[in-house]
Amino acid sequence: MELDQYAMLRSPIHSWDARWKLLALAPLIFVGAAIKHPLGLLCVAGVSSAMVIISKLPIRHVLKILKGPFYFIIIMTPVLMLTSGGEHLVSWGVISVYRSGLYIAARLAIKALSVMLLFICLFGTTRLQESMKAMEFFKLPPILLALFFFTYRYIFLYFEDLGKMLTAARLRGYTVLRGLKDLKSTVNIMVTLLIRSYEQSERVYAAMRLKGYTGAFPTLHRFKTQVADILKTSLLLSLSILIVYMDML
Amino acid sequence: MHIPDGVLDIKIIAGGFTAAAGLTALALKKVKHDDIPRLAVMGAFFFVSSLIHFKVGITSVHLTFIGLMGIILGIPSTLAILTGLFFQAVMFQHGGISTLGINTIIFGLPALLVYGAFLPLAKRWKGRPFCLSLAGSILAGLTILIAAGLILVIIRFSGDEFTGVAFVFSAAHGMLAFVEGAITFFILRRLLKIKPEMLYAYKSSPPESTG
Amino acid sequence: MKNNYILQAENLNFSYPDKNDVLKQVCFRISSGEHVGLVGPNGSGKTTLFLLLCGILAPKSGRITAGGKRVIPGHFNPNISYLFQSPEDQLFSPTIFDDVTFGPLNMALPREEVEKRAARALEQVGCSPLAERAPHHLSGGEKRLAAFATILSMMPDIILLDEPTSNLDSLNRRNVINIIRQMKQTLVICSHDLEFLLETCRLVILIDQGRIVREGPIVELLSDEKLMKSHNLEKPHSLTPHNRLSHNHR
Repeated sequence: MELDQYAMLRSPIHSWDARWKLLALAPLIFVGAAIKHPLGLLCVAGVSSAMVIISKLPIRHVLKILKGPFYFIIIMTPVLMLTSGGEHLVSWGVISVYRSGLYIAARLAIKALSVMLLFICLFGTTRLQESMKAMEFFKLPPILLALFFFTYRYIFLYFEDLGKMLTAARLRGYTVLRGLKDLKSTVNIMVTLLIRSYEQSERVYAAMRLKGYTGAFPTLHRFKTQVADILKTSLLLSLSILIVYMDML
Repeated sequence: MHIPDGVLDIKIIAGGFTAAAGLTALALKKVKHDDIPRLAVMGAFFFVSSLIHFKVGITSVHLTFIGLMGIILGIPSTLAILTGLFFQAVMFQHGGISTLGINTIIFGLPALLVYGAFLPLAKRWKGRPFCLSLAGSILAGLTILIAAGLILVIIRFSGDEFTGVAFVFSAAHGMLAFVEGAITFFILRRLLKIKPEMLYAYKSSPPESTG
Repeated sequence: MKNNYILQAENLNFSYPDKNDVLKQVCFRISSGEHVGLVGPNGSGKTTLFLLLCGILAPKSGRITAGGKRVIPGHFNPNISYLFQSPEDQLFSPTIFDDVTFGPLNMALPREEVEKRAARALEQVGCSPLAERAPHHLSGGEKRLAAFATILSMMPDIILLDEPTSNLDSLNRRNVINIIRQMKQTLVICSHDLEFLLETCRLVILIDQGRIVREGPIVELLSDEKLMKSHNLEKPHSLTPHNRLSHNHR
């Protein structure tokens, strides 16, 4: 679940200054998501795979993260094959399987997986705080940054709380919601958690004010640009431009 | 539920981010720094709760709580939704990264509409929890249908070949609308009883709690 | 008139919207460097008093002075800090180090000073190895100590501690006692753990139903069985005659 758990490894991707990395990878992510030209697509797939290998991130970790888009593709492929239109592959009465559906599904798969690999390179090789600071450098409003930081912390807290409440409830015979049968118990658990979180937010705010909080989230982190950062970013930005140009032709 | 990467046209992706930036800017105008812990804590709650899957027939769906967020957080709900979507992408690879902007619009706009519709009702029906809960639940169900409609339109714009995909998404949302409305009704009823000041409409002048 | 009372409360009155007279005419004065316990049954107003003293809540009437300056509700006063009962309320950053530097950074201290204070605070509570960890990876005891470090890094003159040993195992409880006994700051410690207070405080204030009932030397007050019983408290076991220990105070 923690994308940045291997942020402490050493690799050319890890040592890449977070701001330059963001500048290089964000455009490539969008290019990869929107590209239509098959050569451009293969380019993005190649680059993203190469970067993950260079980053030395554990394969198991990477595969775990790819599960998400993978399931989506598994579900969408039959849908696309049955509905995309175009040339028939096979037909039974009203139901048709389209050749183009398979092609579209393959394209979607490559896109989704490439984008996810680039995403892993971006957020998996830098600590989340640094990534946030990099976004602040690009003018993400500090109040939004503060919101990200605190939400991140409290997500873990509520996993714990919810886990404890569900355990306590299960010990009293509760089962996870099936249809509308267990609605009442589920609602009770949610409302309790909701009210507790609201009351906690008031205490947290008080704790923050007592430490001088005025809206920004201060950190000590300082960025340092190196020549390698500029080179890596220039390379990838050029690649993005090239792929877009290829697509436009 | 969210639109994943790879489906949308570049123009729509860009448009989505532009519109989301606008919505975010609007929300930032309304937010004060003392709202941040509340938004963060509530945003985290919604994030975690929306991971609760349950079976409806042969499929399983998860709640979005978009309507409830609009009612509780008001205009700043956009920020909590954006944050929730971001972390769903980062931590669970739910939804897309390139589609963060468009997904924020799909879920953020209905939340704002719910808040806008709920506000006058909250004033008129102060102290009438049943009416308010019913209104809130209907609005919450509607947010899902509006979101489903938006998804359908947006995906269709990206190409005919995705029509089937769009319909699958929308159908799933349709089923969700009813369940979400029902759960919102019960949650609102309890909240109005125990802690009505949690609702954005009652932040400074809550009705008497009867709990 | 100059005095060396670092914390003073004069005629404090406070009510919540749904509960009147939570605090009534509360007055006390605490000298610099003192460790003072605050005891009372549940609902006596202890936590509310703390929230008033550090400026989170505003009194209905009355006045609070800390370090010679009037405490203005809502204003940032790095002089007086509050250790919340639940460490989760106080650990809100991605890592412990971020939490410990949060206060000093908001005090606009130079970078080197912030780093120095953070290192010192973490060292003081024995949490230096935990600096880069996320709060949710810590045990209950570690969280409590880490939360303590986030206060210490601000180097306040006055620290209010709310149930600092609750949910701690014996080892961590002993750690907290050892840390507190070495502290030179003025401490006001609210706790149901009377044995803990006996080891760390010289004076105690007894509060019940929003009023200060008695204040004075801790051994004397807590030994008064009749007084303790009349306020739903129990005389500490170590003070019963056959168990009486001498208490080494700072």
